[in-house]
Amino acid sequence: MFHKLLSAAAGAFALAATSATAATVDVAVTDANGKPAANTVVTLAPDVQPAPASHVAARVVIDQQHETFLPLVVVVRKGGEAVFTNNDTTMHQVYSFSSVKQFQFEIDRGQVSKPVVFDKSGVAAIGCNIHDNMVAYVFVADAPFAAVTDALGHAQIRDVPDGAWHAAAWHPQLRIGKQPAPVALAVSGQQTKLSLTLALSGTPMAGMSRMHKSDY
Amino acid sequence: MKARFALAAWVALAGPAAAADFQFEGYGDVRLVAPPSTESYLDGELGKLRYGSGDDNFQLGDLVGQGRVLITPELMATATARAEDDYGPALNLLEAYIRYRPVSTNEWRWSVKVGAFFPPMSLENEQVGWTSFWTITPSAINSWVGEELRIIGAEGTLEWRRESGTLTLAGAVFGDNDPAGVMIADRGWTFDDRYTGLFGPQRLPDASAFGATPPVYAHLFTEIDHRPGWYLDLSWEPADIGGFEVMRYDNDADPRDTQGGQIAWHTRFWDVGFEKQLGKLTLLSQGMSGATTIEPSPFFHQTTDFRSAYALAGYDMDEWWAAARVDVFQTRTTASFPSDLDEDGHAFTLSLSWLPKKWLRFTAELLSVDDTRQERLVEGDPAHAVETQLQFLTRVYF
Repeated sequence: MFHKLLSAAAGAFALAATSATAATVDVAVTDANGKPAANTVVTLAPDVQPAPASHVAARVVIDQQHETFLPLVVVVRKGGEAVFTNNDTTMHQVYSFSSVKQFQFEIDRGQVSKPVVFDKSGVAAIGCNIHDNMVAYVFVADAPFAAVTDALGHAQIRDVPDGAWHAAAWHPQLRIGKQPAPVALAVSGQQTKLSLTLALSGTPMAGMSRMHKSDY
Repeated sequence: MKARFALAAWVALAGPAAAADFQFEGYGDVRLVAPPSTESYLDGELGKLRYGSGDDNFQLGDLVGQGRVLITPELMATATARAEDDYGPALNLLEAYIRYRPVSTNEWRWSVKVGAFFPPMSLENEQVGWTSFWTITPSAINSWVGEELRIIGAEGTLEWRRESGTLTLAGAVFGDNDPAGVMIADRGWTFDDRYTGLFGPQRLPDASAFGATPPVYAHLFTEIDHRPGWYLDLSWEPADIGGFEVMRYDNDADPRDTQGGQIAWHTRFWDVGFEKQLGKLTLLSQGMSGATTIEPSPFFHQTTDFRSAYALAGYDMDEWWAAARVDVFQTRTTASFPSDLDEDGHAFTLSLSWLPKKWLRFTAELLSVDDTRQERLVEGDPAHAVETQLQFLTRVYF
């Protein structure tokens, strides 16, 4: 059950007669049952150095509503920052004890936090000290390109220069220490497709049916 | 610590802080019930279920409210109350406590809880009002915990949070619960989601009145021997959801002590629990083994060994979910004279729930209990009984 599986099928094809120097990578991620794997972080790192400048967001916003962090997963560049907003009916005490970043602050209803700078790459799990059910993940990317899949398991990574790349995936339901190995991806032309399959376990967040869970 | 003090403290703290951060939630429910022909234990009989003869058609179930105030982000006071029209006071308190939990930015986090609260071992009762997500009626184990046990005291918790999961050690000292054990000994296991309030009595079976004129009541949340009880609870919750839990509980009551006609029951038990989530499938299991002893005079002693276990399989499709549970239970009593309090039984529960709106829940539950208890002969009934209860619940959350 807990074996991790990553299979990748990467193909490239040119859609235009003219040569292109950059492409959009269409990412589709599914779980082992073929269901869309939302909230997957997919990163692209070049095989040849130096890497281009980061195209990953330098600033992300994480909101809090109904005792939930929204979105569950964000990706920010190394050195980038996250701002937390509270549109909930209660205060929160946001914190992280991850090796990537340790911080804590209180945030009342209607407030916006000071930016939290993430200067180490990796994944920071974010929690609320008042409401234990709340969780979010900040993926701090070293790679110059990264995106998070939507509810359909899709993401688009734009302006990727032609060349040889390695694609890596991370998801909150991948077991610790069982991250799949990066897969090679040849980017050429205007459109490149990347399909990934991940073996996921557990449930990262409470569904609608669990919303009356008492977490204090 | 007295429950009354906890309530007073909560009320005192709630006032000035309410404007800062106060939340109130809860639920009310009505039920269409097809009960068994036996009479419920709540009416002093030896039925195993909440509803019995005369309880058919519509029943007003529970009206439960939980208030919570954040005095600071790290200091929280909460209380849960229930209104009812059948048994006990019209308004009763299920829990009331204050929790201090400083934020930690390393792997360790500690907290302290003071007041009156349920012990932490139930794997079923995790929703508002200590209700179960999977079923209407909890297992025999957690029905008993909700009926007879309440921790009125202080609990300290230490968490070690690793990437692979969280290891939690909780320990408590408590009092005001010395009669706990009388129901499991004199009446046996039951299945019920009506948890005993902190105020008001619980009716004992008429069959064990021992010369007194029924109805006879136990005041479960009473201090008799002025000796604190304790528990230690160790749990491991891996990151991929699931877990393992083991608890040792001992109320350390002096079985020779009595007060106002009530006896201190020395109740102690082991409880183990296991939970695993496999995709949409959740497996839960708990087992409990313990004993309760009284020695109110040099000429009389009684010890009841009690055991139960359940396994629950639940399938969660988000708005819909289903559960099937099997319970087994047993008691064995040795006393100064021959006892008729032994019982052996098992139960099956099937439940299907639908949450069409976040504030509306429907659940259909079929619960069948098959057991043998010689004590029923005192009432002129056969020792063996099969009781089946069907409920259709409509619960509105607010």
